[in-house]
Amino acid sequence: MKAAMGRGGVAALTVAMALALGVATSVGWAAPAPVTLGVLTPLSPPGDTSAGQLIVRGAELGVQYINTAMGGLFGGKNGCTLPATPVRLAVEDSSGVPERAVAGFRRLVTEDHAVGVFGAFHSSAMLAAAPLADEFMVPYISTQASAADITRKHFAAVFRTHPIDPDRAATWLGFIQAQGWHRVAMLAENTDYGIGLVEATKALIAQKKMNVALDAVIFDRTSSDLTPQLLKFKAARPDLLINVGVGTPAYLIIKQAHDIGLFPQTPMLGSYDFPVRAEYWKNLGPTGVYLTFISYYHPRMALSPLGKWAAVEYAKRYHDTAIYSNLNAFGDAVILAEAMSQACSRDPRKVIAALERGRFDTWIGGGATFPRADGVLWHQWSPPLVILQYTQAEQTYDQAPILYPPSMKTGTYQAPR
Amino acid sequence: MDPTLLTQYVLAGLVIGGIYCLMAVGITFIYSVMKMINWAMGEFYMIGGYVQYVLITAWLGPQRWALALPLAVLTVAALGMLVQRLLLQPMFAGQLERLDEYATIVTISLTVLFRNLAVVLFGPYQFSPRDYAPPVQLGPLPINGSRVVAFLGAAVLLGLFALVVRRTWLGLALRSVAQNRLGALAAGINLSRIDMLAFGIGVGLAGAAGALLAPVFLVYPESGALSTVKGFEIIVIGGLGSLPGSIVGGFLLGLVESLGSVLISPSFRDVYGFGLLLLLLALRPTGLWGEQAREA
Amino acid sequence: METLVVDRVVAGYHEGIDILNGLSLTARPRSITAVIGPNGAGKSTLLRVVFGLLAPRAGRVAFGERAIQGLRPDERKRLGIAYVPQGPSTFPHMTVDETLLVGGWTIRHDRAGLRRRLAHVYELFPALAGLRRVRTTVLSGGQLRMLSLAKELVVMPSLLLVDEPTAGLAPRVAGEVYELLVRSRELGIGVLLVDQNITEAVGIADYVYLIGTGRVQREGPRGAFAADLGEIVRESLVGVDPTGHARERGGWR
Repeated sequence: MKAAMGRGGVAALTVAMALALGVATSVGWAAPAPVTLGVLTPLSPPGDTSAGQLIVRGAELGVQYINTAMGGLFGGKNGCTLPATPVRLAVEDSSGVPERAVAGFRRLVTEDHAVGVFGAFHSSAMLAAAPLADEFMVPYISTQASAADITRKHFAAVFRTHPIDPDRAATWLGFIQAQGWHRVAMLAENTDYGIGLVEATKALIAQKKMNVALDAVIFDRTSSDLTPQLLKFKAARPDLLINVGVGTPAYLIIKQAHDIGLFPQTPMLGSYDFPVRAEYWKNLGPTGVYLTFISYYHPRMALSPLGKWAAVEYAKRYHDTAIYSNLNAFGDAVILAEAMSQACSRDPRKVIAALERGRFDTWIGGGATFPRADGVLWHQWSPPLVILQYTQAEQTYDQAPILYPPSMKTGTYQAPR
Repeated sequence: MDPTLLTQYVLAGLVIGGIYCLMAVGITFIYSVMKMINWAMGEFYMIGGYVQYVLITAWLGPQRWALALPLAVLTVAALGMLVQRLLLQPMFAGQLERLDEYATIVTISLTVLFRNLAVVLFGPYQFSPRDYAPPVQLGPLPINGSRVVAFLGAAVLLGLFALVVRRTWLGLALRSVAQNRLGALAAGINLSRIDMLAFGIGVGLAGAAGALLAPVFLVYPESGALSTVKGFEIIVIGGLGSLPGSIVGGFLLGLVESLGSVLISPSFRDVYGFGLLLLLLALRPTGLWGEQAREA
Repeated sequence: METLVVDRVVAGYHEGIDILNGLSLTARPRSITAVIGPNGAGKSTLLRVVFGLLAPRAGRVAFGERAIQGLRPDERKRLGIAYVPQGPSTFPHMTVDETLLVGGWTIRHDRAGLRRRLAHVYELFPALAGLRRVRTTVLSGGQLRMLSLAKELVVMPSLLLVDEPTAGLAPRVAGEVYELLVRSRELGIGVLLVDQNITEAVGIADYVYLIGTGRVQREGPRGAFAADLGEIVRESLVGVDPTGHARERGGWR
């Protein structure tokens, strides 16, 4: 044992010296240098650090999958004769701040020589770094940044695997029609996210000529008292109130609607998966029961074999249940690896071309594609959305029934007694 | 408009206004005694909320929120006195000379420090203790119990504050320092001690607002930012250095915001206050209760 | 009753600029000590040093046996030193009653004593007695000056520092103020009076210091100044440094 360690130590030292002398590649006996995947995600405030952590874990899992289950890149697969090559991860902290995202992206490409970058969560940070992706022609995938401009601006190197406004609007309008509701109120914050969703919903109602009367109100995200607006809604008695607040306002709308007797008497739909987080029940207690909300993931969704591998390995590695942030970051890592394999190249330009051409397995079935489509659909692939409902206090989201879409439905809308 | 609905808006505005008063009185009080503006007021509000939340969830339990309130206020007041002694006292170079920009720099730095500290300690998440009381039906308006508690708490605290300022020796000393520092000094009042107490009391009021509102507006690192802005708006509306002005200004702001957001549009809720402010500045540049100038 | 001794004090507001340059003087109990001299001679600065508003750079200030230059103003007040600054030392939003209560801050725990002292002060200042509940903003300049004085007499100090008590007052009112200072001396209070109103100040003083450029130029009992008082007043009025002239003529010290 001691001797083995000694030998290993000597070998390691030799390799290190060789690397230090810069002879490793010229001599040619070393394994091919690993390909670097870059993760640029918020790991310090003001960014959403918990989202960043989850994304990094998913990315680590993706690398593990590529290096073990896939056996690395190339190495004869798809007729690609390049030697089998491992991948490694380089992580940069964007803090959710545009300038820091730009600096981080630059470091990932120039210092770590990343062949692809993913992990974005804050749209403003991603939009700031996106022009750099085009400048370097290095593919940059949005893991969870949802602003329309990210794909609508048709950046040559920018892709997205996260739902966009029309996806959300289509999901809740489908749900509304399935419920037979007609009068819908929408309280949306005055951000790109909130205003974009109001517009997407209006556009879809008009386009599909739906029998839905939408009363959409935009509120100032920084105001903490929405009671007057909610009172007005209460007087109008809508069939559904869509809560388009992010973070604090999302909670304030639920609390204040509950205080004045609007919710849960009138159903409410949360526009994203904030109720999945542990704070939800801590902050709201029994007030939070009966909320319906959009979620990107539910264990009852049909995962692909890749997704199942990820869910099992995630539980093993982190002693926790995988959620959407993990799975989508995992998926992005694997998609980049598949694109490199299909291109039989580690040249980022060829990877971009492969992403535009190919179909890629990811954590959910169907395969992801990134066609050069019109408008916001450029380089866009959306995972499916589900609508869940909490039917009891302290329920975990995997216990919550799926109300929509019908193909995955495990329960029906429950009104308060 | 439906009169019931209108009554509801007015009531909602008054309840919020009552709570705005606490912030405004705290700011104006510190200003009048120390002639400095405490830009970190909102952060003391935020800290009050966190202390209240931690006391309730980690120690006292949700039933004993009423016990947690005074503890949270005292904690914030003590922290304020510590800050005053360590960081702001040096502002008074001699016994009377002040370095105004010093107070501004220190308190603005404190906002950054406290917010980041909150993120480090508790993360960027929102927290909220359970409601203090079940909803109350006030005429046509069902009102959240915590809001009622917060409103009553604010009323009690303001009453107590007025009592101390009007009827006690400490209040007399505070008023004398506010009106003429040299005169107070000549009377043998220890100015540095009064400054420390005044700062403690002022931020204690903000901390009380934060603790009272913890279940209403949630607790998170940035929660104080807006309350400082509102506090200053009220002060300009009411007149700098005027306590009754702060109170009337608080109610006015609450009403204008409530009515403006339903009668015009909620996108600009925070603009209505500024509108009121600009209107008042045009009509009465010194604010409702302001005076042309005060002796230093 | 304590004697105030100011011993070779150096003091100033800005680095490198000394207003007092080794000034020494003594204020005896139960007597009025007047300090006269031109503007900028350091008269007000002297009182600020004695009350602790300005720390001396060198020298010693003693009250009785005790060195007090390290004490805070409120501590000096408790030792029996009171200070009536030149500017207003009253409170615009208080009543006369409240102002006098503030004056009694250091003896507030002795309720009966405080009540007696207030009654006594109203006897001394009958004009104020009728204005007890009146806000000080409505008082005249003379009444405010009286109130400032009354406020410091509440605690019955042993030494009263008075800075330009009659500046800007009508002669009749000024006369009342000086009468009150004389009355204070009768009550056993020592007065250290700094004044531009040289004739009147010297007129009530027991001992006089003439200072210029931060030093005592000349000192002596009132009588010693009687002869050339007119000259001093004239020079002080035209703004000529009297000390410069004096030395040329070799008349003083």
